[in-house]
Amino acid sequence: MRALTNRRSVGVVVVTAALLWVVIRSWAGSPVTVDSIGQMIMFALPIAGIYAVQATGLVVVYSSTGIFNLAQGSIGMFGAFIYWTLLVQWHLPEALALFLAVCVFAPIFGLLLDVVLMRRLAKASVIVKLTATLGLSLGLLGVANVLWNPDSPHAIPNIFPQGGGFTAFGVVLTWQRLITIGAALALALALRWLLFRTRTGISMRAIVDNADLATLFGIRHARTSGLAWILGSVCATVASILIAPELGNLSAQTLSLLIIDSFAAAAVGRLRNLPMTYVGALLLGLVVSFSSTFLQFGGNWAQLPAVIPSIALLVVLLFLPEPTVHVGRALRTYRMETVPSWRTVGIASAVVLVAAVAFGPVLSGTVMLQLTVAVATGVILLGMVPLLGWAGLPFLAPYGLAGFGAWLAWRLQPDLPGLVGILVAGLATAVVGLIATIPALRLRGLYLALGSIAFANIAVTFIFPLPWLLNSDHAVAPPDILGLNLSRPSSFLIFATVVYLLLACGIVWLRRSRFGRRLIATRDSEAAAACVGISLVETKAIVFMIAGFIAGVGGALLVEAQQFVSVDQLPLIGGLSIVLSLVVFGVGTVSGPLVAGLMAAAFAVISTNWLQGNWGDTLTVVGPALAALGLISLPRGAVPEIVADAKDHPLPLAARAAGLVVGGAIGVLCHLPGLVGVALAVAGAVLGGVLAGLFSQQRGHTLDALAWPDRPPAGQDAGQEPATVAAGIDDPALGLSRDIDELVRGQLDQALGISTAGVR
Amino acid sequence: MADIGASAIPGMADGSVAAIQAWAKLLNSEGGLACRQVKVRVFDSKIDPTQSSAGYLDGCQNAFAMVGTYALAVSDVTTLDNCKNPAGTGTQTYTESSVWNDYFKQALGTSNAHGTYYVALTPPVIEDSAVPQYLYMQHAGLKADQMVGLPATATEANFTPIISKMASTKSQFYFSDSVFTTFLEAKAEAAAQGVSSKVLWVCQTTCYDPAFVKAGGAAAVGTKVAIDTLPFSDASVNAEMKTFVTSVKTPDSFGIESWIAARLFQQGVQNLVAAKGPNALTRANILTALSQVKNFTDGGIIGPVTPSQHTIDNCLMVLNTNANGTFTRVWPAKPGTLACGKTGTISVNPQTAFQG
Repeated sequence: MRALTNRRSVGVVVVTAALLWVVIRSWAGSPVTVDSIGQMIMFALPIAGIYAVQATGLVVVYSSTGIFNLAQGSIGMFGAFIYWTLLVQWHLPEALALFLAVCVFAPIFGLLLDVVLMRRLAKASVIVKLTATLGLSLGLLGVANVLWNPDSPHAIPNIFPQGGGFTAFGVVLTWQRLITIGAALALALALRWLLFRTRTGISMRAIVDNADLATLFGIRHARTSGLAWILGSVCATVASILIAPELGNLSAQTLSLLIIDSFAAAAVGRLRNLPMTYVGALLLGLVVSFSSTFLQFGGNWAQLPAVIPSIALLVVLLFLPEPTVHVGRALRTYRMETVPSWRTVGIASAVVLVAAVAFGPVLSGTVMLQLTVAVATGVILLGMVPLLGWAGLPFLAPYGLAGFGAWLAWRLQPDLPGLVGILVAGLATAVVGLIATIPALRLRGLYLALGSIAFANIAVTFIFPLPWLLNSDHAVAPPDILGLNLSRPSSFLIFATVVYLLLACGIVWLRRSRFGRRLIATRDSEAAAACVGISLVETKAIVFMIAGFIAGVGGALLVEAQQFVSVDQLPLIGGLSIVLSLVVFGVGTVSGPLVAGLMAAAFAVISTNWLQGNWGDTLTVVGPALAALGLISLPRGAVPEIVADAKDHPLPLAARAAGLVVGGAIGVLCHLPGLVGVALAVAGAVLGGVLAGLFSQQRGHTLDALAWPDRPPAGQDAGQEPATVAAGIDDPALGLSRDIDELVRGQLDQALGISTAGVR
Repeated sequence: MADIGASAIPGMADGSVAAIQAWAKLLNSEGGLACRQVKVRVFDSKIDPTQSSAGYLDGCQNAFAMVGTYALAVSDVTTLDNCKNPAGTGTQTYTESSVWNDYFKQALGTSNAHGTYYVALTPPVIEDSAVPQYLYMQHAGLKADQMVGLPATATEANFTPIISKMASTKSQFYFSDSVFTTFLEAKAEAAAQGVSSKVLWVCQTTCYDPAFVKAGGAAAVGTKVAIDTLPFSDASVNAEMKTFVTSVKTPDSFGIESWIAARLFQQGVQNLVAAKGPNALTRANILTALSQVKNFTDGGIIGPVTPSQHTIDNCLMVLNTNANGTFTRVWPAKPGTLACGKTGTISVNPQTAFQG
């Protein structure tokens, strides 16, 4: 205990010293007077109001559903656009428009979200929950951009007329801002009362604490969940409508992304305490206004103000009280992906390599470029497999690591060209991974995920654009490997594929090794692992270094494939999106990353060559939302689920695949319009499934050719948090309202870990 | 190639594609270019560096020339890297124009006015272009009360300290290179804080957009918008502008840029054909012909530009934003004209010179 206290004290001293250093070196020289401090507080209040009103929604949803909703900003953005449509486009009276948006649209939207998506995610892991809400956010963002053209004006007028307000220290606090601050406070108090003083609120929190026990006490999960999402949606809409006049023009992207800055305020309240969240918002507002009043961030530090909320989030997370260590639960309650045999690895590797070699002479330069970028992205994601998929550490900043490898690959190229440069870039990024371990030692689950988002934002917004890193774009020459020049995309594709396969084999070996078993053990129970002599620090440090090394190599491949390096290659949202793809395709498998990368390339090729215009745009827009929905039915990821399905029901799957290929091929060979080609491919897949079903019925089988077979319970995925006893089984499955048949018994056994006890 | 299908801003550069298609249609209706019909192949770069790279490859393989490209995430940095002093590595020499000082002098009645310079802190390249321009203006007499910037996610509330300082220093102008939404946030905050309406609010090309007035309402009115082409309303006095606005259904600032580039390409081809005949049409010959074009103005739409010199357009004009959503020419007053200044150089490291 004393060691822990000492470690925290050292941390406090180091962070305080660092912050003091930044303050001293950036001091603008403004005199500190009563007036200037008063002005600073007046500057802080409206900013704090924005943070508070947004963070309140986050905390309410998390407290009452256990889901940290990354889509909170996007939901509010959608509500604000609805309000704009009613008020400005349909010319409804302001009060009526406000009523319809907040009291009609928002509740219906929240309820729909709950029924369609969120309720089914209740027992999923942190990673799946976060990525599903991320997918929802991206989907809503895309749909909003289609419905409300971002090039057109969408200004929401102030609810209260401009002019006047409360003046102090020469600064005017407008009525609109006073209302925002007041509304945030009123919301915080009202929701606090609801959650802690009413039976409904206590039921909501009980479901989050222990859904099974709460159900046994008669609490209806579906009802409380629906109510929670209605509240969340209303809060988000109110927040966005209040904030919208603060934006020059209503922007879907800005309204959706503003929420990231509010994470720190929510973290101060430990995502549950609304009054403390309000205090956190005030503190954050004060920090931001202090920096703009007394500090001057020019030169290399110009981008620092943009990441102050993220730095605040990291600091808050690091100094939060230690999370509770879970002990005394069922041993294995999640599905660990089967480790592939060396034979399987060999065959799959050979197939992939042959495909890479064969595609070279056939495909165009643009498609080859997309493929090389896809494989490089796959390598970056491969680094996330041991971290997210096996160790269960939800680190969501692949580009935060890959960026260092990308920069080093460019920087080292004159002295260390070729493979050596790539390896050195990887090794140096492993050191960055080691540094990233430091917060990971303290943070677990959701807090680690939020910390990693903060790290990604700081890296992409502040670190990479530094003048000595990636402030401007640079050309990167393709490497010479063993005397072979890889400037042609086809040869680089083969090289990147070989690198991917070698790294994949390496981490398969790692998974089969003693260290792999240590990873699984620490994921199962850190307390138990420590008791049997496993060093958590060493294990986490090694897995972060491995992730850093692989992501660094991937970053180097990415810039060498594109033959330039730019901070534009590493966008924050792009980094989160590829994690979403990885989770969708299988975060616990070595094939998932490659498929995730290839699917992104396939989308790009299809929308460029086949579905130009609205259809292609729509595909890009709805893709993330579909991915979020896919996580419900395929929680382990598409690759392992489809492989499992192929083993159980090979005929329908093969028929669908054949139909898809034949339909697509007809479209290409006959030079049909893109939309017709895609329609033919889809029709081919459906026809293949139907024919397979008919064939199976004729042979006396009962294969369902069109629908996927039953999936394992939703909690049995590759995420971080083990599912509880009744994972994935609706309330009646507890035996209160239906018979326990063989299927239910099997599910219960599996959820309890009885049937999977022997799994490696 | 143009950013038309980006999920963040779908349809952003649709005007660019429309302009190139209109140009090709016009040429073809007049008999084609170099005895050939012009066929437009569109590639969507999606504000994505990978797609931009793919676009260049696609252009190399499938097109004779890339004309009128409007892509923000351009990945071809060979030219930048081959500069003697590559960007981002320290002090560089920039060519700037005195025309801005000329405008402020006539608008404020003094050559020693002082005000607020706003730098959009989004992509570093914008910072690189704005800071040298602002410093050149300051060297020529327009003092800075503050040179500040905010991140792209800034809201109106983030502008309070900036506006507060404008009030305390009695800034005479606010000059911004940001997108119009950020400009509106600053101007609305100034209204909220009661900053004098005598401040000259100057916005660059991004505000020359009907959406600016519709989004800003009263906040937009009175803004001075500086552009480096003739306004569309000059179609009544400029034949080339008339051709543009009648050929392109929805003319916008994206479209005019691409149109001018296409006209430059057309002139290069026509010069080449005139000198060597229609069969001399190769990429290398086109590049040579373009490098020989001097003082290109596209029929007076822009100030004279010599592409081979890689210098800025030295001319501009300023419009006033009206309450009815229109823009009225204020400087120079004569329709069909642009004001041009003298060029000079300034050596500066934009990264260290910007003090936040």
